[in-house]
Amino acid sequence: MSILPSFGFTQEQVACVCEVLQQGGNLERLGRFLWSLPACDHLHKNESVLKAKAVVAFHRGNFRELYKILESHQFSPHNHPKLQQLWLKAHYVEAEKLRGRPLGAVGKYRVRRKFPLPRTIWDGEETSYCFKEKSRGVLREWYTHNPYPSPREKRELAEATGLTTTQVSNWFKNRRQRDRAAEAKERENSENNNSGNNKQNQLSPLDGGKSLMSSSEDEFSPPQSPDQNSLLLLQGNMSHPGVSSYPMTGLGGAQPLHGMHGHPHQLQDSLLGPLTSSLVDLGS
Amino acid sequence: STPAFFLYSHSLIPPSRSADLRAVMAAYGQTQYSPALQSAGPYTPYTYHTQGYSMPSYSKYCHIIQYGGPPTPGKEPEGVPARRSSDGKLRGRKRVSDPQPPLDSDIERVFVWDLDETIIIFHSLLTGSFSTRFGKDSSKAVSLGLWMEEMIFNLADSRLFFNDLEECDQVHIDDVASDDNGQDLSMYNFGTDGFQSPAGAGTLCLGSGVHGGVDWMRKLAFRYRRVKEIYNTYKNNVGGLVGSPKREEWLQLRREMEVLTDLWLTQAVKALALINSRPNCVNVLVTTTQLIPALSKVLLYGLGSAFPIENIYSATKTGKESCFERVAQRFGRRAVYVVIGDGVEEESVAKKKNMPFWRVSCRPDLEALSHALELDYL
Repeated sequence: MSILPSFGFTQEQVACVCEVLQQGGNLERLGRFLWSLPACDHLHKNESVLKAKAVVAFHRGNFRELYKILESHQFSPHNHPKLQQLWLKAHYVEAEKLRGRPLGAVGKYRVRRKFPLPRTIWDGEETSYCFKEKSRGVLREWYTHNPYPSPREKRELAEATGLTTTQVSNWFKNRRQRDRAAEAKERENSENNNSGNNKQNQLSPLDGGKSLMSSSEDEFSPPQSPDQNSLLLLQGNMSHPGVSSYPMTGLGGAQPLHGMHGHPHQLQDSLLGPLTSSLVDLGS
Repeated sequence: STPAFFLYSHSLIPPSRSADLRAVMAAYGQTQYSPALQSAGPYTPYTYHTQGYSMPSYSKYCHIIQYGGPPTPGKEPEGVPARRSSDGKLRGRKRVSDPQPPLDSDIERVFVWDLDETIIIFHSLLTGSFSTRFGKDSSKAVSLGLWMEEMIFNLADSRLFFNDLEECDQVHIDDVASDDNGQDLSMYNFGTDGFQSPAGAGTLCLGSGVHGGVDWMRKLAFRYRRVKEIYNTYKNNVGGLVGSPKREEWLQLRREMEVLTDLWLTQAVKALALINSRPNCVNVLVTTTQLIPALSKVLLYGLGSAFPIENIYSATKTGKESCFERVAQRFGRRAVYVVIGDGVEEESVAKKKNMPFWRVSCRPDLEALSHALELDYL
């Protein structure tokens, strides 16, 4: 607690004022207060002060400043939720401005993928699941023993997890599909490495391909199986929502994979290369 | 006799208390048991504070001390808008020309104050920690502390029914109001209503509440109602409550305390007044002193105009966290709660409830608080 006699407030008192004005939603007064603070490094690195600055920056639409604050200092866990909200809301607003209209649930999801939370305000734990961690654990445990539960077993699982049988069925179905896609991608990666072909440089043109796609991105219905996926490709159905907005960086195993996007190479090939190569990939 | 009075401040009953009490009552002349107000008789001071230390004149500080007459900065009794008390009823006088008073739910800032060593300097005078910390004459500090302690408990016993209520202490003045039947108390004789008798006193006062017959509970409620009346009548006229010559002694004690503490209380009152001057802010008191002695302290330190009696909570029975919870329930989620105190207990409860905490460990902390209020930062 440093005392600044010429100014009159201790660091603790400054932090208290910041908290009070934030809780009261008095952001104009908060901005004025922050502006009046002396240029003392110690003071401006105080977490309550930084949090206040972030809130004021957001309030003023000064998002660059907001991101800079959020990324430059490690915040303590109890502040994470609020700061995460600021980060996300700001990015949503910016995306909406680009889009020209409000974001739906999927649009927001893509924004979150594109601008992952910085570790300064996030502990790395996935927090946005629909099912409770306990339920997911039960399902995961079961899956390792048997990925194809019978209808009766699904009913039991539903009871054990507090979900409906449909939810249980879908979970298993999606899980199998994603495992399959991940497996296929694994094989393709090893094939690439063996053959010495480097397909990585074909990623970047895909971003440019954004503008080629139709903009019906919000009508997103995941295909039921890879086979159906390929059917869509063969039919030349170019309205694959979501393809273009995936950042094709970091195709490592850490990224959760989704139905038809589990194998970006195949789609990329379908767009830019001969269809036959993708069919060969699908067949395996 | 010093150890006996020392124990007083911990709300324990010293062995010689009942004898002292009779002497005190006789000395006061007018007591709570007298149905009609009488002028106070001559006062026989206790011997301990007539020691030979010199008492220089501190008249320059006179203007700060609350006299019996003009009220301190804060709300005038006439102009006090009738506030809704915690049970939703309107209390106090309300004139047609008064603007609509703010409801509890309209309040935007609730300042939750600790009493001892935050607003008032009392206990630390007795323990010597104040004089050690701030380099003050320790024997002077102790004697002033004892003097004030005597006044506090004399007032509590003689006018606020502390003798009756000590075992059945409440958290809040309205907590037993539901047992009241509202009858007129102007000619009621508290001394002979049987509250104290073995028959009437065959009750249990447990931590969870007060158990007893309906009759006894009603008498209990009458007492709390009378205490509330006394508080509201005399909160800006403590001199009138203690009567002459006690009044002059009290004023002198107050003067000397302000000198010794470098105007600590004055500084606190300034902040309290700033808060009271805003329609959307309130002062609430949560103290670990029992309710009746706490009211006595509030009156004797001239804080009656800063805290409506409905805003005073005693945490002795249930703890600070429970009191904070009550306050939060009363004013709602929209309000911002600022906790002001010197101790670990209020700080940790504040942190737990995500209430900003303003620490008061020395007088400059109170100055900074006033400063922040003036600049509209709080």
